[in-house]
Amino acid sequence: VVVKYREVKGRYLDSIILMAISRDLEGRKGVIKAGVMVMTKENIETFHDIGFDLPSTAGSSSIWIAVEAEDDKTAEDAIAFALEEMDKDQTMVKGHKRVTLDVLRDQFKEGDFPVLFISTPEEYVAGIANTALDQGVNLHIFSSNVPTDVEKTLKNKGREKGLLVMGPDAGTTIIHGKGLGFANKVRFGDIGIVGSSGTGIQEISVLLHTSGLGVESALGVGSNDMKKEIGGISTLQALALLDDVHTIFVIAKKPDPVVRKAVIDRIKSRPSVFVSLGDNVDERIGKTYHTGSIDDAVNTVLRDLGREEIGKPAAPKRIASGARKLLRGFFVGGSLCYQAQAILKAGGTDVYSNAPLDVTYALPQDWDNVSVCVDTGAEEYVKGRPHPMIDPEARNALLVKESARPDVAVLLFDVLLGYGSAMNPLEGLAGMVKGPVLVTSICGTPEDKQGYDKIRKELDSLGVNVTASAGQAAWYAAQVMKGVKQ
Amino acid sequence: VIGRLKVFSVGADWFYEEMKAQDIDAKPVEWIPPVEVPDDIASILSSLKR
Repeated sequence: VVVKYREVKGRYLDSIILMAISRDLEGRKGVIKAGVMVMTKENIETFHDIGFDLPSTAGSSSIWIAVEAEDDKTAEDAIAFALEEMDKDQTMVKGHKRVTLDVLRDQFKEGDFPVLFISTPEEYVAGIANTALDQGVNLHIFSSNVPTDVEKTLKNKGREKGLLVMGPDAGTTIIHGKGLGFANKVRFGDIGIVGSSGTGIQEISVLLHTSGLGVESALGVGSNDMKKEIGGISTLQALALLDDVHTIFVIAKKPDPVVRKAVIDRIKSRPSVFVSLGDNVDERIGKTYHTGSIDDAVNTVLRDLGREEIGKPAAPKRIASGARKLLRGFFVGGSLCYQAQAILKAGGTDVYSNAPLDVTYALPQDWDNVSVCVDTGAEEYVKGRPHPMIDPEARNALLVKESARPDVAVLLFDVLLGYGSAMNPLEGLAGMVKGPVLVTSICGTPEDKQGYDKIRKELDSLGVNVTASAGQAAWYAAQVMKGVKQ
Repeated sequence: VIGRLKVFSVGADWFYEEMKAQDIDAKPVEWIPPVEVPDDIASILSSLKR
């Protein structure tokens, strides 16, 4: 067995391309394992985790290829293949020529709303974002783990220039019916959404679409925007951009109370809803309905507009009993994971999580014998691989594995459709065992590229209970768990 | 009021391709990492100074 490394200096390719090359390498005869990654601090660790210890000379601004193979020739051939794949014309994307950052200002005209969508490794965000702001361009920063100081500096600079900085860690935006990042194909309408929760925005927009309503724009401001440190800078700017819509939704996970008040003060004179996701709250402040539940938020607007509310599921036919006493929740949407914990808690089931409601329920090292809701899009689960919404294989493998356990009462998960998400979000789920109660919801519309009906039929054939919303799926799971003595 | 959407995309081409699938007026952005990545927040912040 031989291990070979190759450094390609001064190159950048996005992680999805490099992941595809890694997989191709691992599929070659005689290759035991392989990795091709841009050299970031995280990827040095990822290489180590998969069993490659890079030479001490490994530095930044390069791509490293690592191959373990049965013999020298196989390893060299694999590296040659990777280099060939990397050398394919990268100045074009599907026939479209790339432009450079320094000429963005020449690429748009008055009346345009120019946006730079940034999905590079986090180390590079500050420099790129700063250059774009100087070019008069708004930002949608998809990249996460950008330091708070950098975020605040960028947002202050954007505000001074009259530019909106969405993100960092902004998963979803819809502008005039067009989606950036992870977004569903929803009807155009007169509702505006501003949120620091990407999957929260998706769930609201899908439920509105399903109920016959439409979205004018949904602006994802990034997970930290309504925290104390950032102070809601982008949320308040985004609301000003949506002054012409009929109804406003704002959604945030654990918003800072002072920021929340400032936001509600901004919207309370018009039909609006503020969702403090997972909080136990139910109040009216002026014309604003303040709730902790996405379903309650949407139903309130539907009621106010004289429309039918989202249908409620029937109680489960089977509840947990005997040895089946554990809940396993595996989510690709962080906010749906968070909301599920709150609904389960209200229903009497405490669950541990890597993104817990409070630290008391932080996922322990050994979580074999406790109920859990895991956000599989969290950093520790996506090292060296794309987000599970793009590549659901690892999340689905967890579902298959846990479904075979005799002590699991209910398996709860989410299915996200839409732009940015995998064509087959159910890949690999055919091996799921029907022992536990299986429950999910589909965050998607019949217009989404994955084919809603096809996905629904496949879930039915797998024996999965499909509810109308993620909140209902969590409620259903909580009902099943009522059979378990806590 | 938000004007006509014009998008530039830097980083993962996956997202750019998803934009084109929606007929968004979008352009991919060429970008090569700087020779050295700033390894502490202070240097990142200083790069933001105008």
